[in-house]
Amino acid sequence: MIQTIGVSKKFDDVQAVNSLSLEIRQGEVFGLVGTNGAGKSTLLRMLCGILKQDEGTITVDGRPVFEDEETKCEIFYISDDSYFFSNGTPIDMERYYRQFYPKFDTGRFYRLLTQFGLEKGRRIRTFSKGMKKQLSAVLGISANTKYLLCDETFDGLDPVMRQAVKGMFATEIMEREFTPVIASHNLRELEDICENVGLLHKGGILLSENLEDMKLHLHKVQCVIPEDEQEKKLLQELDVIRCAHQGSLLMVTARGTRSEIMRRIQEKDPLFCEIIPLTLEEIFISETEVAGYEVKDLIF
Amino acid sequence: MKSKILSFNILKETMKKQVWIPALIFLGFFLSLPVMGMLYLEIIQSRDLTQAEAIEAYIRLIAGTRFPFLAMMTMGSALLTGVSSFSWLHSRVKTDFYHSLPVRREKIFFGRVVLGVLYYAVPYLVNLLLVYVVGIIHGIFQGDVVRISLLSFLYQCMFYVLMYLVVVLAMMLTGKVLTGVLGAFVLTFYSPLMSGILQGLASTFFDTFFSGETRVQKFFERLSPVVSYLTCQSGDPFVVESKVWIMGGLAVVVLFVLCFCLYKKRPSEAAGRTMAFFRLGKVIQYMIEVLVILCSGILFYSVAVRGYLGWMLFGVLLGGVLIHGIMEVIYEGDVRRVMAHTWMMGASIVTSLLVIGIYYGDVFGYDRFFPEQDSLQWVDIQVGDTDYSSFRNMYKDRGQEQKEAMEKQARDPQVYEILQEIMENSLEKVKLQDGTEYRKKDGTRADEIRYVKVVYGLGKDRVAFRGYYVDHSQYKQQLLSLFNSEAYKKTTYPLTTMTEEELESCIEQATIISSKGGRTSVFEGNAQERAEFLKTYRAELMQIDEHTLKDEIPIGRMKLTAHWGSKINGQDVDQERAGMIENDDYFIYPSFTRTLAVLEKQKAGLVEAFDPKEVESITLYDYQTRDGEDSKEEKIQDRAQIAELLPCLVSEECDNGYIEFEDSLGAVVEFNDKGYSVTEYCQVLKGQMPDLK
Repeated sequence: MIQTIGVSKKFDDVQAVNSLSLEIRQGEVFGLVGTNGAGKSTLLRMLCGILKQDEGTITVDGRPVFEDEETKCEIFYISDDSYFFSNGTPIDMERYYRQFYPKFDTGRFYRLLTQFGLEKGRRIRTFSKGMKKQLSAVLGISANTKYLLCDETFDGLDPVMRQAVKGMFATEIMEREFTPVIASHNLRELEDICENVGLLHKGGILLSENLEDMKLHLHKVQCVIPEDEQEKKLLQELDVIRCAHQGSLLMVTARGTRSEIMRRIQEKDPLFCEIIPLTLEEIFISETEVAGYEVKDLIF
Repeated sequence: MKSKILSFNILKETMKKQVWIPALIFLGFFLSLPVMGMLYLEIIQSRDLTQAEAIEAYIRLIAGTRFPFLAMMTMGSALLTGVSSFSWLHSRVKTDFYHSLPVRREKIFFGRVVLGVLYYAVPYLVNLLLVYVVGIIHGIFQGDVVRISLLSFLYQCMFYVLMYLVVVLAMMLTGKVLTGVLGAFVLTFYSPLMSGILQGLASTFFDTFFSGETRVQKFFERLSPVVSYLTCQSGDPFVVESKVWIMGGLAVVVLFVLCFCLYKKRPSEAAGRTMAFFRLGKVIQYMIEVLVILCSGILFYSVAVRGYLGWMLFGVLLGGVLIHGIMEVIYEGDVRRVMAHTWMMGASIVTSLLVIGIYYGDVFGYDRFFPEQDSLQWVDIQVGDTDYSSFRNMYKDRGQEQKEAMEKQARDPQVYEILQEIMENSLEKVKLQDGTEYRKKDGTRADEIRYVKVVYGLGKDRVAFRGYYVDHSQYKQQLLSLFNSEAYKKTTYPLTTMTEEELESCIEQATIISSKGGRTSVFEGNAQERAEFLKTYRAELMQIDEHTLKDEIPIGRMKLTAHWGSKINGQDVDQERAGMIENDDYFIYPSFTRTLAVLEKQKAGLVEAFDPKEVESITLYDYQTRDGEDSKEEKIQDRAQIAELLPCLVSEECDNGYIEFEDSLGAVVEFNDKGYSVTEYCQVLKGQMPDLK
């Protein structure tokens, strides 16, 4: 399990991560979402021991991660801008990583390379951005570590390859102890793979929940309530996060269980009422709006 | 065990990625040692050198003495390896890559440092073996070569590591490769540059400043590994002092620990910033700014037509603004931040002004310094026309007998009194439109100036250097009276203290220059005869006193040529020292009868004066200008006038510095020397100019 308690990190005057507490349980796929500059990459770099937190503690399986070789042997970090040796080939990278990750599965590496159609002897600098991302994922999987920290790994992959990588992750989760932590701002990518999501905003965590639970407690409803008084009363009763009108159609995003929200609406004699499933993106926008990140301000 | 295997694997894998570095260094050593060795040995073997001389030359090649290639290789390799071993710290992507690996940072650091040393040592060693093969082929390989070359190898390695670690330190302190390289130069040359600038200030403001090598100055200069290396490199390859090993080893340990601590402390996010540590970066910025501001101040002051302090102030302000702007742009990476942190600029300018103030006001009493006689262990005095010559031919080059003479001088109350008088009445330096002028305390100009260099030995290796400009017309008698002292003559003339063996084997030539026409002749005879002659000469030289110098006009002078690589007065004769020995003038006075008798046999042609029959004309020059007139000249061809004039003319070749001449008169004598027309520049004896009307 990865646990952070009150972790803070500052770069000069910029507070990148602020008193962040988080738990990533073993075997779950954890998605780390957040606005630009929310501190996702900084958090990942701290989780894999590149950066040392200014305050707080970070433990992986109960051990501090910074400068701990044994702990780091169980963590593989895929950077958003991975480094490959100049003139290096996939073979060179495999040979190098093999020295450091004791459980590195060479056979798996070459199998995966073949599956992804990557040439093992070709110079990596001639690879496309997507091919480099694939290679990083293949190296990360082959390292056989318990934790795989991916920073925007799906960014740049074509839809087919994205599915292939996701499939590769799914296989790993089924076959062994494997906990991928995926940071992305492409929420649609995370929705169908992540079980738990941590929502980062301005260096702090807004929420960290199971995606399904999150969807159970946040709902988007569209309804038509003929009387204005009743509508006002409804909005007062509900824990409204977003509210918008489209003619007489009222669209509300509110916290609470589906039954509770529906009961309150039904009491106001609506002409029409419907619950619409929330996407992760909508949850993200709603929660960040609450935290002061006004999406509408960015839409021109 | 697993850890050891891992460490080895790290080294192996890292080396694979950097194989170009040892390859490049190998190529450099290959050209510097075996290839250069083959070329050089072919040259020296064609010169008919003895076997011993050829072996010595071969060893000097291997040890890098007199050959710049090895020094260049060592310095270049240190920079190349230091930068390339740790440049990854300046890239965020690479830093993330290496620091995410399950390896402790100390292992990465040690691995890189070890590789950095191996990249230099292994190619060096392999090429050393190859140069042995070259020596064997040429038949000059001996057991001693191995010992000296291995000693030299260790010594070069030590300095390489020292310079390499300085580069690594710069890389640790900075966050960009370019600033890392610049930082390496700053760390390497800051202290000698600052020492030079402070010396510049001292020479600007102190009247008695004499650029010697004080302990403090030496300390500052030796703080630079490159200066230390080059200083040691120019020494004897056969002997490396134990203190060099101790100090070098200690410096390596200190630098290694410092680099390691900084690496451990250095945050990964420092990659890409100009400086990795903000506060330390500001300290370094401040130090650089002060150095440049002082330099700018001195520059403006020295190029200004008059010695106007306002120009120095202008230089300080301009330099302060410029360097601060440049530093801020480098640090902030943003031209718009050119005037950020103005408090730093203020602090640098104020510090610089404070330093200038200290020198300007002579706060520590440099010019007032004069040691108590009790604390004076020895004193070395040199009197000359100018201050151009270095202190090198002074106290450090003295043999045992000369050192004893210097101690004797320090105990001589008369010498002490003369020095005190000279110190108290030395001339003041005044910067004028057309150069520097030396004035008496009352502000009047001194016409004839002598420069007296003094090195005071104060015990416990403490020395003080002072240079006094004195009014020769006022202190001539005091300076002359120094020649009454045997000790002064021993320190002034190295010939007087040479052993018989040195006279025979180290002096390879004695050249006699005639005062008439400057005709030169080399002393003929074998080494033994030459040594005998020199003994005769120096016995008479030791008899001279103030009257000899004042009253006798030399009829010739002698110059000695020393054999390179020999020892004189116990000191090695290198190229520089040989040059200094050759510069010494040994005047031959008419009272040196025994010397002249030997030279007579040699037909050296020394005569006391011109023969009036040979003189064709004398052109007199009067340099004293009156009411805007140019100097006047008058050609005299009348035999009677020539005969009247000749006794009061003295060739410039004979000027021992103490004969009194007319200030504004000169003469050119044209005479016939065995069918050749010769021109001789002469001066007119004071008060003896005849009335030619």
